[in-house]
Amino acid sequence: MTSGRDSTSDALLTAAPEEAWQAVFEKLWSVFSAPLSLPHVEREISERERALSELELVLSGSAWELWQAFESSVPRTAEAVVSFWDTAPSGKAVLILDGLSLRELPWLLQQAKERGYAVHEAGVRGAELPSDTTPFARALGFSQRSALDNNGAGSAHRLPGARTESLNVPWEDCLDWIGSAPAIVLWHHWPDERVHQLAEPGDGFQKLCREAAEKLTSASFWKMIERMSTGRRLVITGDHGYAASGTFSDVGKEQAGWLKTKFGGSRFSCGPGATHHWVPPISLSLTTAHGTNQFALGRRKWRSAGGYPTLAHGGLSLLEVAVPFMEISNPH
Amino acid sequence: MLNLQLRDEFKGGRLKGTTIDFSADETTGALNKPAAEFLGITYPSVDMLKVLEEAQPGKGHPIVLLGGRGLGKSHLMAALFHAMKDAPAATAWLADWSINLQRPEIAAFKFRTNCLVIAESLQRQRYKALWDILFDQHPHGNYIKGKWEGMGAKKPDVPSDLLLLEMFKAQPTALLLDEFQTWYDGLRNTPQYPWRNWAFNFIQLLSEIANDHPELLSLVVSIRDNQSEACQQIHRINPVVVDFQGKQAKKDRQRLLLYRVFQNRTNVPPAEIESLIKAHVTEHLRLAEIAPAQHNTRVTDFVEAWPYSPVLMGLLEDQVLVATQAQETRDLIRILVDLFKTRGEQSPVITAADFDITAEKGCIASLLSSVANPLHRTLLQKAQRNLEAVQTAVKEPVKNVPHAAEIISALWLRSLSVEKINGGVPAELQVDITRALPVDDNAFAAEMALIRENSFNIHPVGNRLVFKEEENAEGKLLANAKNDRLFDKSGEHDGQDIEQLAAEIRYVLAGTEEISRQFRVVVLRKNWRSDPWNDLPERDRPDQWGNQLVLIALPEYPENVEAILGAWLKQHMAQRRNTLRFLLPRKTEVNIYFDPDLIICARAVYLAGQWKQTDEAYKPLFQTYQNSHLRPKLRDKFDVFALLDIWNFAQPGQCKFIIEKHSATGDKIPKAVQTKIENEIFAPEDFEAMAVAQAKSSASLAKFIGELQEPAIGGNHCIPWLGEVTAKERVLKLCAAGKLAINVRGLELLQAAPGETEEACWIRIKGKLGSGKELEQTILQPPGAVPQSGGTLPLPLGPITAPPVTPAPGTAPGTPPSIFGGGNTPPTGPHFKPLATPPKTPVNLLGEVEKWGITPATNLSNINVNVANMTGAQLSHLLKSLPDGISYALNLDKEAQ
Repeated sequence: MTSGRDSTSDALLTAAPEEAWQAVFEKLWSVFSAPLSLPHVEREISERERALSELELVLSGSAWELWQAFESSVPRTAEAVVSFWDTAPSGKAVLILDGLSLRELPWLLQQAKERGYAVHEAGVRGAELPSDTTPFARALGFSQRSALDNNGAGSAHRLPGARTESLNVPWEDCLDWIGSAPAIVLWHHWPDERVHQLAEPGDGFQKLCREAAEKLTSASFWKMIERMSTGRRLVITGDHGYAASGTFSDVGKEQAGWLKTKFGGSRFSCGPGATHHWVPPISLSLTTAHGTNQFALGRRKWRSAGGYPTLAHGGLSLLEVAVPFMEISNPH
Repeated sequence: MLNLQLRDEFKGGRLKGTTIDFSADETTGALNKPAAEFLGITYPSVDMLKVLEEAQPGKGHPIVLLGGRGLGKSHLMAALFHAMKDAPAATAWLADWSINLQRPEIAAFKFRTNCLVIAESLQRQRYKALWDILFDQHPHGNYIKGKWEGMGAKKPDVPSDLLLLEMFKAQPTALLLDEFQTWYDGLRNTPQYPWRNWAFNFIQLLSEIANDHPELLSLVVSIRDNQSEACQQIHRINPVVVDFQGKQAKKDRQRLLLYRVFQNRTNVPPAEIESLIKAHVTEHLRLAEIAPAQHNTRVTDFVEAWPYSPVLMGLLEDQVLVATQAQETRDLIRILVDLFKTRGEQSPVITAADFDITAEKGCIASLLSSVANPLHRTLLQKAQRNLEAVQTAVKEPVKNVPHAAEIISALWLRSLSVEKINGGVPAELQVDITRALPVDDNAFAAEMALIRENSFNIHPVGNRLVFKEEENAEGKLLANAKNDRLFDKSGEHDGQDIEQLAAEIRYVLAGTEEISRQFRVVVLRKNWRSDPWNDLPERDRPDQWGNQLVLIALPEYPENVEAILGAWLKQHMAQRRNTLRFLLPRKTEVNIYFDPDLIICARAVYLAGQWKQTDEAYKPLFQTYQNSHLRPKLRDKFDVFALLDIWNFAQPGQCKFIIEKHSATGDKIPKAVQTKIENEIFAPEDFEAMAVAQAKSSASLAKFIGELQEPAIGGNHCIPWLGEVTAKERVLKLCAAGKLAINVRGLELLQAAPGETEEACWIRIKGKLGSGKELEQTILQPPGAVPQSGGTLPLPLGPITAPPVTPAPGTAPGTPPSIFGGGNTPPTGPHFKPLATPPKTPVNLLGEVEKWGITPATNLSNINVNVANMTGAQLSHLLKSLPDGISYALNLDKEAQ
């Protein structure tokens, strides 16, 4: 475990937070942007997750201080969306896939390329902390995700002129909504909804990997993309990622008891929370744009009532807080 | 044979009764026949001659003929009647026989000439009292009767001796009373009419007169036994008793019978007879192991008894007729006549084997009509059924059991006796069936064995065989078991023998519950090569195998076994080809399902199992055949096992198998095979390499197990399949050894912790793998670094006495201390006030403590007692006086030596 160590990990310990996070995001991009093959999707994604384990270990076991600077150091998705909105020409669209993680990025990249889309930008962005839906909505100036329903967000948000919708329907059913408005924002509940459905003990992670591959390579999805990008620049991104928490290691009994009391089956708890005496810490209390909250740190899991979810988000692990961001246009 | 002729009266299709009708009423009555004619059919037996001798004038004893029914008493009495009535005819008859018998003295017998012969068969009940016969038939009867009845008050109940003497003096009389006992025993005896007492008295009178005045009265009485009062009364005056039991009587009666049956038996030359029956007699002498000194006697016996075997005659007279309560000679004649009629022409000598049980008529009918015993009647039906069974069960019965009918007939006849020793030894039966040509000993033994095996009423008793009514359960069982037709396609138990045998093999190999929980033994049937599964019960088919280790027991050791098994695997196992272990029977032995021993045993077990539900007799047989015969034979049948080593799908004939002996028997085999595979064939390093490779590709445990169940491809050696339980255990062991990690359904990540021993890890993780669907959700992965944190639980919080600490800028409450020296706040907790004093003496220090308000219950922390200088002795003293139960840190500077 010590041999073959990535030397960039060592550099993180001494680098300035901005540089460190930049290095981390570069690493994330290099690991997750590579193409995937459909037959071995679960295996390949598992391997990618393992490739990150060292980095995760550094961030949770040595350089946990970097998390304090996360918000200020990484390019955040919400800001990127707002920036896009502000700078893009008149035709613009944003597709927020709720819970889209970097794991799903290759499908979008591959398919966009295959289907002849022009990719203007593609990269890794940071989610809000806590990496949950509502903080992201707030970051965009909405009170919550449901505020986008049926273009009901009003005008007091950061995406002026947008026709908004929040849907949880098959891709085909989204087509009717898209219509011909020049500026549209669609917040689709997939895959977050499935993340929570598949969080039962078992092979939810593997199922989700396969399902994501199928969904994101499906003709109906790209039909929707085509419709959205017709005459519009389109940003595809996610509000937050998710962790395959079922693959995380189990903490000891005492730590599990403590974590269970503080977090239950979640990855963060609102408010500053209680202190503990474990070093390296098993949780961190961070003050961000969304207040002071306590976060489970790193790839840890613990037993809680009803079983710890095998898929979760909100904590401090890279795939929860890093999301793909890509801007494409349809040349046709 | 030799032109032997029955008497005319026996030649008709329907045999007339042979009873001598002792009456003169009808023309057919013996007494009405001319003396010469009647005497012509009479053989002068010893008893006959004795009676004639005693009845001569001047002899003075009453004569008593004592003997059971049918011995010839009536015939004898009728002959006496004729001799007394027609002395010249009798004299001529005796003269003739005196030459034949070479007894000249009998020609000199005298007969009474002036006497009145009164013969009466008393069972006809024509007279109420004996004296009525005399009064009725004697010329002076009426006179004497009148005289007696005219006595008035003086009349005795029984005519007096004087009256009788007067009558006999007037006409000397011979009184022949047949069936005296029957009549006497039937008399009523009441106080008013004591008829029996009167008869008793009267017969006494007659006996005394016959004794005292033989010239006046000759009294001849026939009785059946000497137990009755009638007999005892006659015996008082010392009568001449003719009891048919004399030394020569038997032989004599034989001659009498032959004479009575055949008209020319005496004319057949003995030399011709001897040559005719030579083969039979020689075999008899040899097989019965007759001493050479007695050979001549036995030959003579045979010649004299011809056309019947003396053995048969003895059998009929001494055993059969006694047993069946037949009327001795009378019935014997009927039987002999019928025997001769049906078999006389075919058999040079008629033996027990000539009682053809297959013929409805003839001798059997005669015998059965004599048989009073229903038991013996049913025995015939059994014999017939047995014969039928033998002829059905044995293939080519004409060739293999040519004498079946004769042997069973002979055995049946020999078994009719009531004596303890009945039936016959095989040698006797062999003699019975020997006719003109000897029967080969070996052929006979083989035939006998076939008959015994296939008939079920033949019971062995010592070295004898006996036909009994009750079924020889074992005989019946085996007879049925050997009947191939019952188990062939058209049979009643089609294929059940194969099923039973397979079931027994399965039980022997995996009978006990412990074994069958872990292993599944599948015994393939006859056509295992072409269609192995259709014949099997549902539960034995591959889709029902579950997680047990499967041992396939083959019925044969095929030639070129590896190629055959390879092709078989390809054709009949779509998946899990690597999981099978093949049990093979010994190379030298035939296919188990064609082993007659095993098949017959299996059939016996099957049939006994069926029959025991209705017949208790089959319970022990079921157990015997199952536990003592069949299962022991099967225990060591399978001595080697085969295991797939190198798989070749394209050319299954090129597959390689590991074929090894397991050195175990019965239900020890599955475990022995497992142990052998685990210890000698299984290579843990191969297993580890495969497991690690699977972990690298994040395969599920189900997938790994699935791959273990399939053969290795590319000409690699297969990893022997040890079962799911063992595979999981070995995966966990690899996990404990730090070779891989296991993610159990996202619930728990099993992985050796840093610094944890293999043993400790094993104890921690063992048994944590599920089964079935859960294995699909259990993922193998390479071990990886996991976050670890040290420290303790947060200290219990005391009452808050101090105001909340304001967090330092840039840090949030709850943030742990930074090891990089960041501005973290100390943990909140109870408020402590630091107190200190300059160095003082211990007494002054106590005073200070008191001043600070420290009571025994006050909690203190971070206590430092500083001592500037002290010696080792003082330090020791100080340490010894410190309170127990608390740990102390000690820092000091020690002076360099």
